[in-house]
Amino acid sequence: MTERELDSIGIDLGSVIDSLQVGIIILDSERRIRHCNRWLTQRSGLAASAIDGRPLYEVFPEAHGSRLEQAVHHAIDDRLPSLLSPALHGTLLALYQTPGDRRHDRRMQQMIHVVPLSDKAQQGACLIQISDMTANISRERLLRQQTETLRRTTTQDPLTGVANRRKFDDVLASEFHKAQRNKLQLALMIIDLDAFSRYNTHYGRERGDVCLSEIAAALQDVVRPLGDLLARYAGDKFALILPGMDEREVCRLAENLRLRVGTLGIGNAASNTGYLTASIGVTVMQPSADADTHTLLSSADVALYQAKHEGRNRVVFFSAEDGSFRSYG
Amino acid sequence: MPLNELQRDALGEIFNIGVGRAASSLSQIVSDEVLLSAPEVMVVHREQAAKVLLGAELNQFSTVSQSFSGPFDAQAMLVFPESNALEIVRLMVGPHMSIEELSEFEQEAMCEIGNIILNACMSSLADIFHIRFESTLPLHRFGDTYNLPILDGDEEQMVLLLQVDMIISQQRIQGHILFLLSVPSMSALLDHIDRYLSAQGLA
Repeated sequence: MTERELDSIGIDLGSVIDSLQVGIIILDSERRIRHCNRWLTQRSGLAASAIDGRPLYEVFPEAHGSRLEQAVHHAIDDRLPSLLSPALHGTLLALYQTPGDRRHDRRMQQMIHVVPLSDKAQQGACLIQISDMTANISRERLLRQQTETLRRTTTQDPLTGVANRRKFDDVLASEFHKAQRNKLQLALMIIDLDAFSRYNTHYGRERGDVCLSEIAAALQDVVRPLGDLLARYAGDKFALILPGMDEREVCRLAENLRLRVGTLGIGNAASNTGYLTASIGVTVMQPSADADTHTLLSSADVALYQAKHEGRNRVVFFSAEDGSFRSYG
Repeated sequence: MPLNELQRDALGEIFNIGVGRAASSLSQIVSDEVLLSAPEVMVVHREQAAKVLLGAELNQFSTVSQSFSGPFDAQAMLVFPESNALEIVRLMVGPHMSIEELSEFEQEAMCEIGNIILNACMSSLADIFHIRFESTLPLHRFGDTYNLPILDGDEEQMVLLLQVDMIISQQRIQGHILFLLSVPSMSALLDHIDRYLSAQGLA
């Protein structure tokens, strides 16, 4: 719609510009402000009379030497448009949503477009358009925080802080696939606390929870930071994924963990030993192309069952290849 | 329509002035030294340009484009492999994030970086040739090679292809600037270069 058409229905273009929810500044080739709208006077706290006709850099000294000055140069002298993103400039101009924000110098987050305008004298002129991005940016921040929280809660066991079963399943599948592709060994350990249900009955669930956290922290200590994954597999069962470890290494580590749990010296009146112990089932495989994670998991389970069967507080290795057991501890 | 050596050197010089100015603007924004250079300029057909871009091992790209019009028209595009674009955003804006997490906020930053580089190149051309262009505002997109605008459109289009090397915080990041020109626009550009060269007493 042209100005004349607006005029024919009795609407003044100036009042339209005043009603816009973005800031408008029109500059002439001398960088003088030839017009600004109401949005701008309100957010800058300046009267229109203190702005109109004055040089941009007197009204907004903060713009002097800034990227806005270059953008104005591009628009007036080269006739090229520019965009100033909130990520890189944010609070370039001293504009505020409320007088309270001004007192605390909390500037609004801005997105600025600077585009050339054609003027009659062909001296060059430009339009500076400022949008308030404050709400968008705080929403982005909030969303990012929520994403972070969600990511943590969907992959972490809330009690012990180690990975949860979902994360365990994901990592096991991807490490299994990696071992398959690169023809590498993959070790898996299942650590089960002996007579833990009786511990819970005897001392109460609260003490049981504290105990699980302590055990998880002790186990986490020996995990290699890259590649390994310790997870809470079920109530009192932890699982440890160990890519690239062979039988000798993984059994030595399992034995180390078994001793570690024992030496924590957590009393368990419900156990024959008088303290809390762990049984550990271990397996290693170099997965063939047609193998799946089920074989690995059930081998570790079989080994754990055997360790329980042999009297608990021990490490048993099971080989899915030849069906043999080897006990340690 | 290959460039002769003089034309190539002249364009190389003009674009290096442009990216040099862009580098000083970017340095000012991040308060850290940003270096930009355009070591190579060539004119190729559309398919060849696509091949050069595909030569990079990844085929996910970040593009910022602007359409310039004037004595000749050019669709200018700054193209970085997606991972390089993420690296630039990370170095200029903040912490590491994945493509999915990259919000409007960072995309706008990428858009501005492209805007600074493309405007600098075109205004350098405009200054040297004493001409003027108009342009659209920049548009940022992520996409794979299949939806790169360079792969569709007029068969006859030529591409002025610049390799750009960006160095921020000791990290070297490579990308390309493409100017898509119609055959008439390309010959108008070459005329301007020749006129400039003869004014310099070089051709």
